[in-house]
Amino acid sequence: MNLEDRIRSQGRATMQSFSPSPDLQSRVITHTERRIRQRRQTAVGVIVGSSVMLMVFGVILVNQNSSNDTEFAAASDPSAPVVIPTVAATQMATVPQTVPPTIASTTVPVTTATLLSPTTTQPLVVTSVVAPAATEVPFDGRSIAISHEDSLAQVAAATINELGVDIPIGDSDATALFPTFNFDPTGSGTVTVASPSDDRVMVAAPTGERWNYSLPPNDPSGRIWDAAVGPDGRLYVSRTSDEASTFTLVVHELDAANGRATEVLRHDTDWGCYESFCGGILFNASGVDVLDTPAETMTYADPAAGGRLLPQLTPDSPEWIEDERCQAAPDSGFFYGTVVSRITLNDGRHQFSVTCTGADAHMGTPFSVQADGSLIAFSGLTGPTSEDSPSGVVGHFRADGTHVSFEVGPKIVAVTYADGQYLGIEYYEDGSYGHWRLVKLNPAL
Amino acid sequence: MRVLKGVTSVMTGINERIYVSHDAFSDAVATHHRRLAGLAYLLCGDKTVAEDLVAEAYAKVWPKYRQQQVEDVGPYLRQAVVNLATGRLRRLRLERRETQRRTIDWRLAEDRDVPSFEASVDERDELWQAMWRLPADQRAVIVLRLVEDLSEEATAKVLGTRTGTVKSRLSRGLATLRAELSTTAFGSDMRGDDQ
Repeated sequence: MNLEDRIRSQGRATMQSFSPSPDLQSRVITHTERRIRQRRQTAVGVIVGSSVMLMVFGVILVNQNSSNDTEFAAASDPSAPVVIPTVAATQMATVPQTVPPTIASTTVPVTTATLLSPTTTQPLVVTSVVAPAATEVPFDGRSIAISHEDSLAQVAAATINELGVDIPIGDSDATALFPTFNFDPTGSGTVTVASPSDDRVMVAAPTGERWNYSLPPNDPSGRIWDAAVGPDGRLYVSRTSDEASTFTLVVHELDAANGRATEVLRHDTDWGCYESFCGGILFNASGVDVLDTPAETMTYADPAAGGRLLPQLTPDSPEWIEDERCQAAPDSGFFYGTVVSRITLNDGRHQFSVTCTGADAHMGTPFSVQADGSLIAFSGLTGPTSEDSPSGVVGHFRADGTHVSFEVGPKIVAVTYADGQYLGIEYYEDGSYGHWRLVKLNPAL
Repeated sequence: MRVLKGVTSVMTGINERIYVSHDAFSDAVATHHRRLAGLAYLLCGDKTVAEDLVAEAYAKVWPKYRQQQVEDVGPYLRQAVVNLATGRLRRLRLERRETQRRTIDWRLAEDRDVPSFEASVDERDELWQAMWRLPADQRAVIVLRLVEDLSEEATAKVLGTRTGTVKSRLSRGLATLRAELSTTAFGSDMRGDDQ
């Protein structure tokens, strides 16, 4: 029996003999009902959360010297999906503020902004960190030529300059290193890469600086699931074990000079969740969220496909998106609500069409919604001379109705977007499972 | 204004659509969940995760199904399971668990017509351990083409790719399996059979 026949016969027999848990049917129904409720709740929560994030960081930019208060967040918003209870927030506020990460332990200017929470009208204090410009990681000299073949707007060819931040993801769990759930959760452009196997965390700032931290090993709460540096300069890590569905949020003070992270707070979630988006860390005006619902949904309609770009790309409910977009979409072959663009190659140009697909990014074209309401989507590109995907296409869809697209390197499998200049790219290389690279776009974009 | 109506319907739960009944959904669960769980198990190699994938697949398909926009829910559910199993974040989690897995819950067939693998469990273990080390997209193509017996076109549609990509992934996946198994007794046997 040859290999194909063995796979065929054994696979079919396994499927036929597979005995699901006796309660699976009831679990499916319960889970579906819960997800529908979550989606409706999230639709409102995300809109509020996005507005808060925009207001917070917008105010920080224009009002950086208005206060010396270093509290992260004292306000509580009962309507927001904040997991940390008030007592935890208080604990966080009483922990002495330490200097955010620097390589040479130089004094780092810390600026703050005071504003009112738009949802509670309580005073809200958020710390902003201005990282030093020293210790910048130089470009490694490699670059990828990218050309804009946008069907709507011709843009001059540009170049991606790749930073020297090249990280193997590994082909097994023992070497796994991965970018965090949310590429740039604070909106500052600082991204975090974590290794769950050996408790390492790398933080890369938009300036090119990067820091490596070793967390205490053998954490009783399990391995790293997500990590991000908050606006207060602390490192927030969600952990989970392979056996448990619950998460633990561990907060660390960072000592960049010595590469150490010291735990200052630990908080266990009181809910369980096995889904892929669970355990992601987000920051909002009132604290830290450890996600148990999808982070975001969005809508976009391609003008070239007869749709109309919304004045602002507003995260919204799947039902609404489906009502407004998917029914009219020319290629609505997928299941559920969210409208993203599918990128195909046509005579050397990138064509965008509207597709209705799942609410989660990995259900269709991976995308991320930016703080300014624009959308970044990525798709593998199949060229006319190769049967496999030789490269990827990144599309940036702006709220004003314009968009640009460009091709990026070979065998890229995922792209996340930072702040308009930085991309995190997961890519394959011969003989290895994958790598992750932080790249900087040409400012001409 | 339609947009406002949409928002209102979300916030109040009022919707003008005609939905299929809850019983119909229960029937769909009863009809398909077992086979989907088996498929998910082949794709991920973990029974618990496989059942989670099935539950999430129903949650994704249900909104469309209840609005009577899905005629045959089976293929939709299969596509959802495959997409979930090959998702990037999901893949990371699956791979974490893969390394932790010490034993495989090989279940013997309850149906007498189904051949038992009891006698060849080591061989099967070796083959599927190698299968689960493949990249998720290659594994999905192999399972859909060989086990589910989908055509290249149907496989491409499920995975949202081109038939050429399906061919290349199948070819590369099988080549990797052959290489991995070539040094084992199973591999020697396989080569002998092929010759």
